[in-house]
Amino acid sequence: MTMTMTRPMRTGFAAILLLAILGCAPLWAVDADALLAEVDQRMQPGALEMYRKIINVEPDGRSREFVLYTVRSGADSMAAVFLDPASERGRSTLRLGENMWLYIPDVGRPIRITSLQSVVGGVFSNTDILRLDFSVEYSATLLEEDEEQYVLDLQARGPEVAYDRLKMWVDQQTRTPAKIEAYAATGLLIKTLEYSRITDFGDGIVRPAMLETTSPLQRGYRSVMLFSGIARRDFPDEVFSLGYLPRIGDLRR
Amino acid sequence: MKHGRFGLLLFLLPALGFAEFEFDFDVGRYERKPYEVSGYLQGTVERFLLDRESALYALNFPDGQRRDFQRYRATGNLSGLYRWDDTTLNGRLQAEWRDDVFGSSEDVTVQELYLNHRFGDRLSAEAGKRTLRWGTGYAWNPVAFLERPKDPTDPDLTREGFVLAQGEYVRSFDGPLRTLMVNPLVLPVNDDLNEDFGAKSALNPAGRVYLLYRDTDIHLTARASGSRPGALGIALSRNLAPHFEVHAELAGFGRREVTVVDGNGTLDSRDAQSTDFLLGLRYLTQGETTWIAEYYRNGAGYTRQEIRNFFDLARESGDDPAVQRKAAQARASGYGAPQVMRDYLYLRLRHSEPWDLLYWAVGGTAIVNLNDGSASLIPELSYTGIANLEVRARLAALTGGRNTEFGERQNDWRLELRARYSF
Repeated sequence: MTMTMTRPMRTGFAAILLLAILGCAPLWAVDADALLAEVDQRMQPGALEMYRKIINVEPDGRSREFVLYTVRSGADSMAAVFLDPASERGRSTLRLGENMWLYIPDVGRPIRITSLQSVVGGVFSNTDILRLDFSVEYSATLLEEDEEQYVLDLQARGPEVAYDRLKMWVDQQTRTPAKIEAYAATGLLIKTLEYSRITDFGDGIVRPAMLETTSPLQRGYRSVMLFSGIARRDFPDEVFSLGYLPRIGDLRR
Repeated sequence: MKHGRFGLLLFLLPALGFAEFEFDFDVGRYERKPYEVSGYLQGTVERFLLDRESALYALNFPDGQRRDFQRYRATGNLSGLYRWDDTTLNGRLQAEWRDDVFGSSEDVTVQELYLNHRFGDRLSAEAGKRTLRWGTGYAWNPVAFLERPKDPTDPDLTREGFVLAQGEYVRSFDGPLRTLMVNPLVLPVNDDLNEDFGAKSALNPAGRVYLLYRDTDIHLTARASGSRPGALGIALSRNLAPHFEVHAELAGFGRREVTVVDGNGTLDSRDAQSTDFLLGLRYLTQGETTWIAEYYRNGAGYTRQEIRNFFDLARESGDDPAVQRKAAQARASGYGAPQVMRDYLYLRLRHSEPWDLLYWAVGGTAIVNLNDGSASLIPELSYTGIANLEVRARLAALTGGRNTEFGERQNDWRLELRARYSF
């Protein structure tokens, strides 16, 4: 006996097959947004404090160093104060979502700054220095994966985000970024960021302690960010307000 | 062998390049201390080329002999704070020595000295001499009701404060209103305290409410009538794009009087318009040039006829000491303010590392009087190639015809060289 399928039967079978495939998809596919959220959790695990040293290497080989104390709370609140050099000491920056302000002690009041500017010069922009969680600003798609890493394509969630698109290489083992390329809306590569020196900071925080960046737009320049003293710490929301900016340094222990 | 050494050198070069970085980052050095001290030392040399046809030259140099002069200034600015528990003592002291054709002088000013105490995370209070900075404008701030005048040609300079007592209450929220800050204060004036704020003794209650609402800074400011007329203001600031910020200020005043020189050369007074406002923007180009542009409406400004009457009086100063005294009095009563007329345009641009010149920055400022077309044009060049040292050169050129604000100033141009060392 030969079994033949009528047209409605074939359509139904195809639909069931498609549903089965779609239904089973999450079992093997990587959820890119969930992976990005995990990267965020490992890089900046909730409320924390940290010290950073930024080294700008100029094309003539000379270098300039800046030291910042940074505090962070929630998904989009961050503040930092310059501790060195003397000419910058006491300058503070605050970020609430896409809003950024700079407080200069001599000027005596916070002024709004743009995320693409750089308060330290060099290749790091304000957005790199006061980085929010990637998942707050970007939605992710998995481009490729191999045994060692995932490659994610991150698209900005809105026009107010400084870089329109990021391409991120994520280390499979540590679930931290190894390399990021930042692109403008035109497709122009703005800068490349490379993370290294995976370090155990204690309290379950294992992440890179060094970030190096170069930009084809600033040939000959190189900027390095060293991380130290990363520790979990809760701060009241009121710390992340303009009135508190002159006192961010008082939070140090 | 030569090739071997050369090869070894090539092999080691990358390592030598990296060795310049200090990878051991000792955070212990940066832990909080009970005290902090910082400041700067600054030397300034200025050369003035005088406009011998101008009205203010006639007022300042009645003998009409001098063509130019130099001014030398040495400035020290020291800031410090001392912490114990939730209380902080803050101070800033400025000392300046100056020498020019008018003589030598020294001046030591306590710009700020105040105690701050925190009652938890949301509430704090402070008392003492304090410099307030209200508003969102860069060159002018109509809503800054409790400040000494700002110099628009150098708006970032430190200024002396007034003795006051203030409280600050801050709340943060989730939702469209992110931050609320309430800041009431009193600025008492009597024969011994803040006597340069106003002649009339009064407690001068004032205050500010700040809101961060839907990504917009909103400042509401108020000053009760007392030593100065009552005033209400609003200031706004918002980023329209990551590289584009806009700001505005509007201030309304109670009855305020201005001293004017009438057609007969007599000092008189009249009521000023009740509102000042400012519109501005800050824009960062793809080439990393920052532009700031502002329009300022000064409601208390003089008309063209009123400023012409003053210039006529000043020009007659050289012939009659009594007229010179009257002109000097008019200048002290309002005609000597940085911008005395009604409508101004401010433009500033700054570009770092032009033509790939490391540590250099070029820029310029233009202040244009829209009522008479005169202007002050200030190109500048700065160098920061030595750690903690900034060297800046500026040329301030004044343009404008007879009876215009900038055209009648005493200088044709002023060249300034300034070096500042921070510690």
